Amino acid sequence: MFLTRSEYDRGVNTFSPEGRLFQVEYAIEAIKLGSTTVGIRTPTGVVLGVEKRVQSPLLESSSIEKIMEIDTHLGCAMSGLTADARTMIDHARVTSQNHAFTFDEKIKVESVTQAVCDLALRFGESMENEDAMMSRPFGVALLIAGIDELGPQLYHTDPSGTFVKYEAKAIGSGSEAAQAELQDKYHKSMSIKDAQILTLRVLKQVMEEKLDHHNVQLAQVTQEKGFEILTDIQLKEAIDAM
Amino acid sequence: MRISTIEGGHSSDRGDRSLSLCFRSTRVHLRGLHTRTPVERCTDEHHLHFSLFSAYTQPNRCLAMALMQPLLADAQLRPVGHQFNPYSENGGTILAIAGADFAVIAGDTRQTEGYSIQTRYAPKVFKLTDRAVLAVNGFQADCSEFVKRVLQRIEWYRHAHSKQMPLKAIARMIQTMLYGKRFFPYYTYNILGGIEEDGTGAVYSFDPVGSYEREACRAAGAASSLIQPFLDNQIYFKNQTPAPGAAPFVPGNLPIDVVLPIVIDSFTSATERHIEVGDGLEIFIVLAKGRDASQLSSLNATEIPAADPTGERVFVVRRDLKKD
Repeated sequence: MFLTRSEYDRGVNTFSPEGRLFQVEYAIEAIKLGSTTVGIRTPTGVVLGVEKRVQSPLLESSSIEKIMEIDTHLGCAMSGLTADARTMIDHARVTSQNHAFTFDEKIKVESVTQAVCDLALRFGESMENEDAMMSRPFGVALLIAGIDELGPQLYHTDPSGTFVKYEAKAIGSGSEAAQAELQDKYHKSMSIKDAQILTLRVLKQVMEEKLDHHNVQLAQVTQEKGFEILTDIQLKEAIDAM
Repeated sequence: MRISTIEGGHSSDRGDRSLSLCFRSTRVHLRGLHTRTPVERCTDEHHLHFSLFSAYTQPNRCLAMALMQPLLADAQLRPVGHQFNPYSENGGTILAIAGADFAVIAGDTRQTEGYSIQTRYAPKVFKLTDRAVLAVNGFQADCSEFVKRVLQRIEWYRHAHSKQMPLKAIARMIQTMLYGKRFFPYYTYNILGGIEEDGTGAVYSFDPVGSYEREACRAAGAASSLIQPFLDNQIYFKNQTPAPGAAPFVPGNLPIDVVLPIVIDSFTSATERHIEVGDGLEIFIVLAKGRDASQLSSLNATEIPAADPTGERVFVVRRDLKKD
């Protein structure tokens, strides 16, 4: 099996005889090495939470950026090769701004997710007279949170360019245990505060270090305030409430 | 040495457009001139394109032009102006009026060029979505091309975002489409009417390069100068004062049975006084979701089938105007 695999896992857009794209599957594997990331949708907003792996006591934890704003009503959290996410988020931001410029309205969460996923498949060998393409699939998965006319929504994207809508989703190294915990504890009528606490509890369960305001980050998208990353004070309050 | 200033040499051609000069002889000989420098450089060129802009950016060339005045007097070397006017003006007029929960968008159907009538039925008002109607006026070829492109963009939007494009989004998109051709504009005056997301009637008017505004009413086209002052008075209540103790006037709240006669009277009057207006009248009426349509029954209005029969409804009334 391994021998046959090595024949087909070199070209990024060559199918194996079983009909698989190994490079894409390996990219999905890369996410399982990433830090745990959780997203929860509630009727009033969406909460995103990430674990920050602080590998050294000399590392400035504030410089680890795993939650980013796409637009005032859209945010995103990532797991995997976070450097790859910059390209995707940049694309999402441009798409969102362009939509606002052309149509004088906020882009839908699904539309911006679709735009990011369109980008995810633009890898491979470029044809002649074509701008340079990306050489490999993205090694990152995103949780895209936002609010539009359909209410608060949470989407998960992966390197294959697939996107799925979730009520609650965990990605990254601790995702299996975290997803099981979410399935157990999630209910549809949670408040934003409940969602913050559940996010922290789930992260705490799968984290090796003791959870504090240095090694986690929370963000939320609400109708009133749009996307916001919780400040140190807000985060400490949530941790204390847990 | 004879050196005249650029204004002296070409004052008759000073205008807003650039003047393109093309010399019949491929080479302008300098021997007959009273000077040798500094013009020799630019005489090698077969064509001298000259504009007011180049007067500032290329002083050497302008000096050359000035020095060639004696040569220009020669019939062989006289400049030949080339002009291409890609536009024409096809007459007709359009108007739109917004109500609290409806919008009326109307246009005549005559198409003219000069004193000729090209056709008595050229529609100028188009249903875009269940809640948006666009009236276009100006150069007919640009109008039909523009409407096609707007309809295509609306369909793409529906596929990309799985919803009908809202009225204000259509308005903004029309702006970007018009401004995208800022330097070779569509010669079109657009008026967009319909129902906003909040259920209110709305009218957006545009200039040919995309400047736009939401208004209570607007007339455009050949008879706009006849109709707009009338609408200013009747819809915006200009030069009217409320009766003592009566509530102040608020534009955009007139009932439909007041608005429709104003539309019809506007067009019959414009037909009387303007030769480019007449033949037929098409009045589109967009009603907000759930609004009662019984007031339209006396007008013999036909409903245009909607994609969503529970939402906004579009009706059209077709009437004759004088054909003389």
